[in-house]
Amino acid sequence: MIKLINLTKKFGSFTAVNNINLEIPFGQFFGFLGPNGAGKTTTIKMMTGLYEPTSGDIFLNGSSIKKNPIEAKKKIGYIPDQPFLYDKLTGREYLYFSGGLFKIPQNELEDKVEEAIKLFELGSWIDKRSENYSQGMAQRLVIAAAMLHDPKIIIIDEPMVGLDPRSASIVKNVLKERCKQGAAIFMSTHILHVAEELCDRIAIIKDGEIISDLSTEELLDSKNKYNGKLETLFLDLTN
Amino acid sequence: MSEFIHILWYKLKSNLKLTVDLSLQGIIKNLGSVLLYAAFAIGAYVLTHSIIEYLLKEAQVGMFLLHQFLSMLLFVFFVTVNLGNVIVSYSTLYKSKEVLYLFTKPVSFVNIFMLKFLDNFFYSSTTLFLMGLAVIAGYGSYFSMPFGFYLVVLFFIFIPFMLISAILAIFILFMLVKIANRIGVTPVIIGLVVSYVGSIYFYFKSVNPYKLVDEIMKYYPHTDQYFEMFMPSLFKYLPNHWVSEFLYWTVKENYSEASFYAWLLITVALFLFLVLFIVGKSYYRKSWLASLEFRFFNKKQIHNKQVIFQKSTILQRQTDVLLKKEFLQFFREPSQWLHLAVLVLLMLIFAVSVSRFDYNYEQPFLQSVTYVVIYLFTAFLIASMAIRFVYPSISIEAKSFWKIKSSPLSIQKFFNTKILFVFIPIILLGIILSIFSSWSFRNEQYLLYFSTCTMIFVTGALVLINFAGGSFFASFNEKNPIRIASTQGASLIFLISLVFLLFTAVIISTIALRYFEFSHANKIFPHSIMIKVSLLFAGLAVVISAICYFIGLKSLNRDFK
Repeated sequence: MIKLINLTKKFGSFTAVNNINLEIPFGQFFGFLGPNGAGKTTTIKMMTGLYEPTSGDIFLNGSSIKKNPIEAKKKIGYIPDQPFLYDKLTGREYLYFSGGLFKIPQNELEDKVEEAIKLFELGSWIDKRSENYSQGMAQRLVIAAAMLHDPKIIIIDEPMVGLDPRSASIVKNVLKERCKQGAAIFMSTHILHVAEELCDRIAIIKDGEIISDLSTEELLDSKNKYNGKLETLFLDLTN
Repeated sequence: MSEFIHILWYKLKSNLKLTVDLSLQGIIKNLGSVLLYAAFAIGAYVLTHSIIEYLLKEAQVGMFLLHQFLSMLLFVFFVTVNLGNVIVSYSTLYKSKEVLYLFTKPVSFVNIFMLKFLDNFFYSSTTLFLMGLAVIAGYGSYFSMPFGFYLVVLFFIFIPFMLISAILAIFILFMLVKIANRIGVTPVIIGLVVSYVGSIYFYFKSVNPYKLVDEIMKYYPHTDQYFEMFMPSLFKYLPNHWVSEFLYWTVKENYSEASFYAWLLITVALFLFLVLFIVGKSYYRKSWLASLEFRFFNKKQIHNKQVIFQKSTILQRQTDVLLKKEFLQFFREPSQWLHLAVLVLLMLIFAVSVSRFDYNYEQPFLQSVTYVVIYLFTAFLIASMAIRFVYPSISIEAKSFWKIKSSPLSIQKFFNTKILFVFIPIILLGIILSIFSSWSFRNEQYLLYFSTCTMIFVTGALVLINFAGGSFFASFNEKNPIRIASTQGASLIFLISLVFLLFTAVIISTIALRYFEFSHANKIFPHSIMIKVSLLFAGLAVVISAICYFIGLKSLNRDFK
């Protein structure tokens, strides 16, 4: 389970995230929407240990990211919005490097790497240095690396950026499958139809505060009030 | 022209806008930079003044020889400006995002080219400009020159001189891009380094400073003549010679001779500027397009099937993969290993040269000065190595640092692995350099031990100072190690390293002087003092290293933006 308790992040006098409380159980696909600068990425960066919360805490499967960051990070698979890689490493080396950071035993890792290469169709590129990769290819590699240790919590920031339809389809299928297997997925996105298609629950953040948190059924009801369009609902709420 | 002025105006506006960074790092960086530049400028001024005074009053080398020395220094300066412009102009003319932006606008290519050239000239030469001006000030003040002298030298001598160097750099760059298209980038870089080192070598081989000094000093004390016959005729065509001749004749108050060289510099600079405009107009766009070939289209896609990650080691899992990553990142980046190879080569040349040095002077003072100078130069080389390779090692993670920060890995382990990767090679290099450079003192066995032992501690402290600095001022937006090593933060850390070396020099020189005094009096210098001083060094190095380690580690825990 992912738990965000009174989570706040301030940069000087600016409050990027203001007292957020959320609980995402295992097996739920959670969509986190909001306009630019609303606080989505800041929230994710706190969840993954890139930012220190100003106050409040985040619990990832019971481990506090503030008090026990290493234990907490063991449980997550993080996919950032921009897939920055070590460009002098090949795709395969990057996968082994990632597996090593999560202390996956060497013999187990070899099988997992081969599996990931097949699943994300990285075959012809895997031994080339990632400096030659397109954004979509780099994104596929980052997702493959994030799944190596079978995380129970997956945190994704804009997963479809730069992906071609085929790659997008692979990624969507993998995420759906992981969710079915019981993983809690926290996904931030701008693409409303992706959120609609994948998520069981959608929250909208604006100016650092959650202004809406709806389950699929509630979302359907609300949408109906806006000609059945999530876009109209989103625009109305965030305007 | 209006288009050119329009863009220039907005570029100036944007560059002149002051941004005040009130963060701790920002304040330290800015204060440090002001201090550093002021220290360099004052240092260059005082040094120039003192050297001229020494050469003319103490050594009595005469005005001609003094200006020949100046000409040699100006040659090195010219080559430095030239090389700096080749490197920076490659980024500004070919890789800049601003160029890409302007290419999509209805702006003529020649305007873009000239704008970027000026951009590049002022950006890459600012520090050298400052240094040059400080030297001119030191020179002028020694000869009590009037205020007008400085203006004339600045606008009609110094700027044309640097402009000639910068323009030639662009021609060289155009040529290099053409060659790189045919044979690839790596051979071109190697060729470039060899050519520059070679040009300096052949220049000094032809000038032969030792022979020049010998020939002229035969006329002692009548050294204040114009010894034209000792001047290699080829060098009369070099701009460094024109500048030194201008200064020589100005001080001699022979203004007609001096003005000839001023006109020569101005005319050549203007002519080259005109040629640059014509070449830029017809060739820049073509050259930019050609650069795409080797930058993108013809770029060899390297396959690395040998996966060192698959091989298990005795190391702990995370340390193992971090070290392997460091190794591959370093040795797959040509700017890293090439630069390392060149620096190590130069260091070895230095070490071998000084190992044959004869220090058997009559006076213990001269012996101790020789010893301290060699020791300090060795330490200075290590400090340079540290600023170039240790300081950038954290920032070089660049945007990929998210992977480390979001992994179940303690930052301390990451930090320790980074230190481990550079610490051992640099310590080894420090020991080798120290032994070689103190080899001429091998008969003074204990002094050799003392040098090597203290050098290990000095090296260790320098590595940690640079690590802490690199971590404190870490900027993950730049992944080019050379650029990281030339930021404001890096300059400040280099200054701190120099202060540390200054402190070292005080202790070392005291010991060395006493040692040689004892030696001249046929007495044995008490070894216990050397051991105590070595222990003092060890203690100091450990304290400095511990403080730096703590600062570096704490800095890495801040938010990764």
